[in-house]
Amino acid sequence: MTDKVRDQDKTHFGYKDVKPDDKEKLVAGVFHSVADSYDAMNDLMSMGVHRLWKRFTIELSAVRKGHQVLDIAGGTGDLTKQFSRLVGDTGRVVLADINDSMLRVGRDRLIDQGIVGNVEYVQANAECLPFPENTFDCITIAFGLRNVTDKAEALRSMCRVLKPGGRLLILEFSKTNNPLLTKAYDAYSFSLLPAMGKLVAGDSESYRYLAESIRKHPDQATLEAMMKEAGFVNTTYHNMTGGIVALHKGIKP
Amino acid sequence: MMKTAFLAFLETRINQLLKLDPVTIEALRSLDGSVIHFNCLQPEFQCYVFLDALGVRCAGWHEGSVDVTFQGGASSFIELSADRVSAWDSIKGLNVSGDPEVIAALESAHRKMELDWESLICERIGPVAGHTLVEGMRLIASTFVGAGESLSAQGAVYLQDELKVIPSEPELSAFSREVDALRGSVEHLDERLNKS
Repeated sequence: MTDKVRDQDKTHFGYKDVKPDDKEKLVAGVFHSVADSYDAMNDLMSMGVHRLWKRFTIELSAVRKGHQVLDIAGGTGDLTKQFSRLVGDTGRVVLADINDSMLRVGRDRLIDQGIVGNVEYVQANAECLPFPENTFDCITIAFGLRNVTDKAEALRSMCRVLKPGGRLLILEFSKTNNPLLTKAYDAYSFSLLPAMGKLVAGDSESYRYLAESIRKHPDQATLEAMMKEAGFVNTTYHNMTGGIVALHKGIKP
Repeated sequence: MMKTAFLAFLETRINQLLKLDPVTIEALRSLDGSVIHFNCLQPEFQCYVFLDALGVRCAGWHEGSVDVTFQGGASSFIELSADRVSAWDSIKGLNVSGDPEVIAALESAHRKMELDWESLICERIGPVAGHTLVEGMRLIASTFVGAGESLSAQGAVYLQDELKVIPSEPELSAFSREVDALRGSVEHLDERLNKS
């Protein structure tokens, strides 16, 4: 059996099995479709709690003036905006996203808010980050890893571009450990979420994919093991909102 | 998550208030990059406040060094926020430690702080309703202050009057001794009557 997902016959796209190279195009289609209404839908779907999840991520990042930060799958730039303030004029934040629609929405939004000077925009695939080794003090990927075709390869790539002692923070939907909460969450994500997606973004399929991709994403312990496998040490994770979301942290030795 | 939510709320309100006082903003700007640690011992609660050119940022976690630490019970923090005249080291139960220059700058900013909270209310609900509300609040506050002063003055008079009619401790002791002696005499008489 081969380790690389791209060498295998199939991978998952939500609950469907697809060819690894097709997954990228299908995910791109989803994000092209939702890019313009992404922020509104995030607020609606999480009832605004996604702001607290991201705020906690910023707190744990320990980013300070002069740091180099990479925000992978940065989308509409929520984290980049905060990091830009933290790193100051002497630091740099790179907002990277594989999807040009998301990157365009994020760039326009940040420029409109006057966040310029220390932010760069790069269209990049997390599996092969186009940066030299030991470049960044901190890397974040918020709600993006589950859409990556080869997660293990992406983690190795992140470890490569991090400086020794630098930290990786992965904010991602995860698994609840409360059966009641799980039932309620399933009902919400498979019934209400696609309906809201149709109503607000005019697209129920993309939000059905969101719910399915969350279920296919590795649970907390599995993701932590994957981080260790990729070379990270001192790995930990914090469950938030009953485990609906987890924040994983790892340090490059 | 509750703590994160509370700190987000606190940060928004503090920054809104600071916008009403340009002098304090200027004073805090000179402390750009400083980290202040608030450690409430009872109830247990910790938070970090980061000062920068855009205002303040509150966080529940911080892994670097801090410039100033405020440590004490909730009552001492309440006193700190209410009393802007007294020196910080005179506030009972409050311990302020760290960089003396930053402490001095913070203490000076705290003393000079003039938050125009009225304009914040007027901004929210309009000038006419805002001023009416503020006048109402002032009236209620002055009524409470007047009632408190009156209660305190009348209480003193009442206690002085009561002191005149309330027996002192030596008088009570003497009376108690007399009652004991009388009881002893009655018992003695009772015994003699029973014998005869």
